[in-house]
Amino acid sequence: MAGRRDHAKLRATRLPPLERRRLAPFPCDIAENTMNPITRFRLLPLLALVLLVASNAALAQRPPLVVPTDPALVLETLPAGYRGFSTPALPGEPLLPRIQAMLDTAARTGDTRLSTRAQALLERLPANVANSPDALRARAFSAQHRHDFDHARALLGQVLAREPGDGGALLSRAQVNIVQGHLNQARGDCAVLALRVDADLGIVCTAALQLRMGDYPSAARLADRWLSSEGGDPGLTRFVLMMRGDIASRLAEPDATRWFERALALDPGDVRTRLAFARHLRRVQQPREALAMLSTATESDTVLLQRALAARESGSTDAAVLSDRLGKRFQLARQTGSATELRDEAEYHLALRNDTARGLQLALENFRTQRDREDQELLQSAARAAKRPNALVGMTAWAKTERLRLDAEMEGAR
Amino acid sequence: MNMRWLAALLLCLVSATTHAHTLSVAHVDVSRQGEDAVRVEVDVALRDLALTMPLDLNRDNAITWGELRTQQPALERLLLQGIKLGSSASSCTLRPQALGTRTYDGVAYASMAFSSDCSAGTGLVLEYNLIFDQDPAHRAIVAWRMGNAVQTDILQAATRSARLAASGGDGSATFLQFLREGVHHILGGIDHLAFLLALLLPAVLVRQDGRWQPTPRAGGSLRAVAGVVTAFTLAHSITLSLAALGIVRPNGQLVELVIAASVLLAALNNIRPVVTGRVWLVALAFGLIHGMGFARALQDLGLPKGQELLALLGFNLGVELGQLGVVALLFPILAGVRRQAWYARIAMPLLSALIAVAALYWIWQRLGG
Repeated sequence: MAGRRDHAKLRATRLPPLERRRLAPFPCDIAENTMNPITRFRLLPLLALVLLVASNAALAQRPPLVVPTDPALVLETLPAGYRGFSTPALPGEPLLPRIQAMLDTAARTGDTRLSTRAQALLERLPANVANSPDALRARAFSAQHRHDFDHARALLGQVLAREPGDGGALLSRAQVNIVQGHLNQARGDCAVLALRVDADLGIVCTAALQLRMGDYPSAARLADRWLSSEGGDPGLTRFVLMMRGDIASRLAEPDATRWFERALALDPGDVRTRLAFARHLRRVQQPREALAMLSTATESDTVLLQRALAARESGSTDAAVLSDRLGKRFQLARQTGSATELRDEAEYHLALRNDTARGLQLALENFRTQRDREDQELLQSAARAAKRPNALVGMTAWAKTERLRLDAEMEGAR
Repeated sequence: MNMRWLAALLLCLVSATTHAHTLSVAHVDVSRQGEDAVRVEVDVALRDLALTMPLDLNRDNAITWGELRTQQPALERLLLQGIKLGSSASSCTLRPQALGTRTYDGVAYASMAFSSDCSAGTGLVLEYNLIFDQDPAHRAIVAWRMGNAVQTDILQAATRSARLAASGGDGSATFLQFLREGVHHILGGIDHLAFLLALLLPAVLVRQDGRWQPTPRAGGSLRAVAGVVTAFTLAHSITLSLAALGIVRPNGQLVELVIAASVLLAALNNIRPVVTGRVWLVALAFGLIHGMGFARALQDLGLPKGQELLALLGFNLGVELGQLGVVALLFPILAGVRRQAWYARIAMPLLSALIAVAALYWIWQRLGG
């Protein structure tokens, strides 16, 4: 071995530096032959120090102060419904309707400020209303917003214990079960709903479950059946239309866009419809349209992620800016001790930063609490990108327990 | 149950994550202006303000500069009620100055400046009580600026005051926290330890005539160990800093793979030596990669805003302390057994082989096996 090394050294001394570098058997030989080690040791700490100081100075800067001159200059556009909450509740004013309106607006606009404010009001409810079914429903909604799904399910269970015929609570609990991946329990809730409580809501429940199970044709048939006899709550109709659009998009049906357009027409400002529509537009290679769809939406992690992805796919010059902005949001959330949306953060690392290891780590963490179809798909693509099929062992075991058929590719990975 | 509730519940539950995380964060900047004057700038998101006081005066769902200016007196009152500056002995009077706007990453803020003749010295305390009662998830980032130095505190509903400490402050707490994290990371990072161990095992030996021989004096071994540790430290300090501050964005999966490969190569080099002198250069080369691995751990912790440098130094020093602890524990043992024939012939190659096997497993695991 030593003889071979000496021979290599001898050869290297007769060659120009670049060639020597190419032939060097180990990095140490490069340094040995091209730079004085003492000089190298002096330069390294100096370089490190300069970089550190420069970076810290840049991070300490604030955005510049602007004093506009035009009084008509619009600084901020508020979501519809915001101005109703600009004054505190009057003494003696019932709080529940205000809480309900806040939660509604939070859901429609995607602005969580309203849900956390509603949560604060819920804590102040007088004792005589704090445990009413309406208050319990509001608490369940709020718990769901915080991703405290177990608590949301327990609260809905309390509502159902007192009002067993509450189809809405049953349907909501089925949805929580679907999100958490308790698909057998969701099946039970949907069956009770369809057979004993409200057949129409049972159809919606079963359609959502079939969508989750990946049985898109059955889900489409059920949604179509419900929509053919629609005439109820516009919010529920909007939801079923959005779900129908998602099913059509997954089935690559040509009229998928039309379903989303119908849903959007019922409430153009609803960010949930806009996000689902934008995902569909990206799926059918229309990222510019997806970008336009979200241009006026309240900026949340989810909205920004979809915008960044659409911008990148459309070759927009804003792609890097949006991606950096999203990265800063996640960083700020961690710095301030706020929880991040793990699904979004995982996709950010996976799709925008090409950090497959981090993406997989976050996707696995997310899958512990959320097991909806998007969470499953994200984990699958993260494991694939990271070339870690063994990361899906837990998912496959869970799918077997819940009688969920995974994709063919996944089946092979078992 | 009425349909209104049904719709609200159902639709949110289905799309559980579509409306998460619009951060409610205010920024408070306190800067010293000479010996007895302080300038305080408070930046509050217009959406937070719009939920606290009427700003959309013409009810068109848009806040204009004219509307914000009209509400300036009310805004001043709100901020003066919610923010107090002083010391344990006295309070400082804040005088409203200019109103402006700032945009933090696409989010519009109202920015109100206050001045104060405050002679409270370095024991300044800021009490912040805005918005928390309405929104418990609200946060305020307080930056104390003293010349080029910045101390940052994050306030929340449970912690509503911050103190400017005499020596730049709560930075020491940050430093210590990250120091602990650094120690914890190196001691818990088995691949980093394995790499270090693979480099240390032959440090008490020299290669002569194709065989490992004990070093004549322990002092010589100590110099070799110092060289290895110093090179590893310098190298990973550079890449840790670059990656943690976002200047370089290495591919995480590749980094983890190369770290495992570095362990394998270092272990194999003990069994079939290729590099026998200047082991510090090996430590230097692979230390660059290990630094990127450390940065990933630091990324998980999140660098505190305004104290990035301090946190980074603390973490780095923690890694060094952990590393030195390992060396301090191992070196006397290795120095003690280096003259035993079984060490060079059996123990060192056997331990290296075990490390190599572990490294192969990590490589297989990280390749997706």
